[in-house]
Amino acid sequence: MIRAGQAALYLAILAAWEILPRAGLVPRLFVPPLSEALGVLAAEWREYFGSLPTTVGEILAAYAIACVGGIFAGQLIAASPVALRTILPLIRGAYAVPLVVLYPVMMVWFGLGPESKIAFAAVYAFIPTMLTAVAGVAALSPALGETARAYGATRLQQILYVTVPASLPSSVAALRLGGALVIVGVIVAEMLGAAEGLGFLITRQRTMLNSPGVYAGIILVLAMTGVHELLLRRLERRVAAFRDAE
Amino acid sequence: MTRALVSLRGVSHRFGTDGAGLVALADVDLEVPDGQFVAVVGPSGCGKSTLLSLVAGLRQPSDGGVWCDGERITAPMPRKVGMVFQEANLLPWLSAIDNVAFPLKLRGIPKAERRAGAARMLTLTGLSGFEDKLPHQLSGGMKQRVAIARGLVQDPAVLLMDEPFASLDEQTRMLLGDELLRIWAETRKTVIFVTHSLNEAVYLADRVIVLSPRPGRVVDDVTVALPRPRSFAMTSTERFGVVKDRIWQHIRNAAHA
Repeated sequence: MIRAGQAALYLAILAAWEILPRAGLVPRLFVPPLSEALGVLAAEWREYFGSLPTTVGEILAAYAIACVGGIFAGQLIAASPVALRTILPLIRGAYAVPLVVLYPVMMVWFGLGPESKIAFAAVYAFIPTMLTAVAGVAALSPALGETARAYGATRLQQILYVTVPASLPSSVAALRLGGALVIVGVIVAEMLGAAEGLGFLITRQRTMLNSPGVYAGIILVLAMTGVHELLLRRLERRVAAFRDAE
Repeated sequence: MTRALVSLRGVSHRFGTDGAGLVALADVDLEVPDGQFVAVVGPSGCGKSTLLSLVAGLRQPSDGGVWCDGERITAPMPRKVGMVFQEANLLPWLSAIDNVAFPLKLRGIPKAERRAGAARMLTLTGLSGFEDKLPHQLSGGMKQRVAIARGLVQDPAVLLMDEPFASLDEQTRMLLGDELLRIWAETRKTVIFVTHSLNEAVYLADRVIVLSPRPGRVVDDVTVALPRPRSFAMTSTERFGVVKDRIWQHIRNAAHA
């Protein structure tokens, strides 16, 4: 019943995307009909899909740095009361800075190629990922750690055997957030200054006022975030057992 | 008289940095002989749980010292002292047997050996057949049995129990009390059992220590001269009532003070 409702909702949105521009209710320059965007994607598939290896490669590299590094750093900071009071406020403050101002600097440092995109997306996603990881550890009840301590666990054993597994669900939440931000970061960086990649392609189509071409790129971005979401849901189901805590 | 296995001498404990804060325990002396079952009762906030955490080595006393088997306790000594908390505190991603084996894992004992030891403890606590269940698949009483098995898996001389049955319903509590006495009779551990329940204290213990309201001091040390094995029928005998009444007088006087 709910699934049927969901399917109907999706179909209605897609139908509106097709019908409203054709009926003249939405200017075609703003939103071209869905079929036109798909038509561009089919006709120029070589160019569109050809831009994916660059973009996906940048996303994976930034993902590894931001998510693995962010979660690891979060665990370390959360384990240290001193770090929680010194480093954490600093990072929270840095979080308020719109990091996109760093991108021109990064282009100077790393050039127009993939490195500057990886660096920007990694920095952009690192802080929120880390803060989510810290919050996940902070929300754990201290009782399990205390029990482990009574049974002689060292500090490292407490982290490895108690904190890390207990915070797995929140680590998945951190991955979800960090992954989405990495995708945003890479696409934005490619749009602001690049010689290749999906974001670059979208910007080029926009400067030519080729709306169907812009939307063809957007559809590919949507597909990427959809795949990311699906993979994370699978991962979430796997760690669901951990959430069945008392 | 058998020698004291656990000794607290002149123990005071203050919370807060440099011990300036709340005084939880004041000048407590307590000698517990090997194999004795001691219950500790007292009004809420009297430092009962603090007392246990000192014996567990989780906290250090501000004054005085705690000894176990002749050794001064300055850190947890899991091979000598097992601990059972109010909540079972099982690791939710580990099966019952792996939870019981956890203290052995911390010591680096090989898997086959620690599983064999854990399986014996699950049998002792009446849980054979439940080895591979996860905590959320077990009832509250069963979880607490797993926690008791974990407390005993290193064959410690002392088992500390911090209101272990407080979050269970009354029937489960009574059944587990009898189970605990059976396990105690089989293993002859020294047990220090903190509880809010006077019935539980008198029914289970050889001796009941009564603490005053904060700061906790020992105000009475009552020997429970009921024969063993204990039975439910004893709870309605005059002797049971006399002991319980004596403890209750302390608690009531403290409440009026």
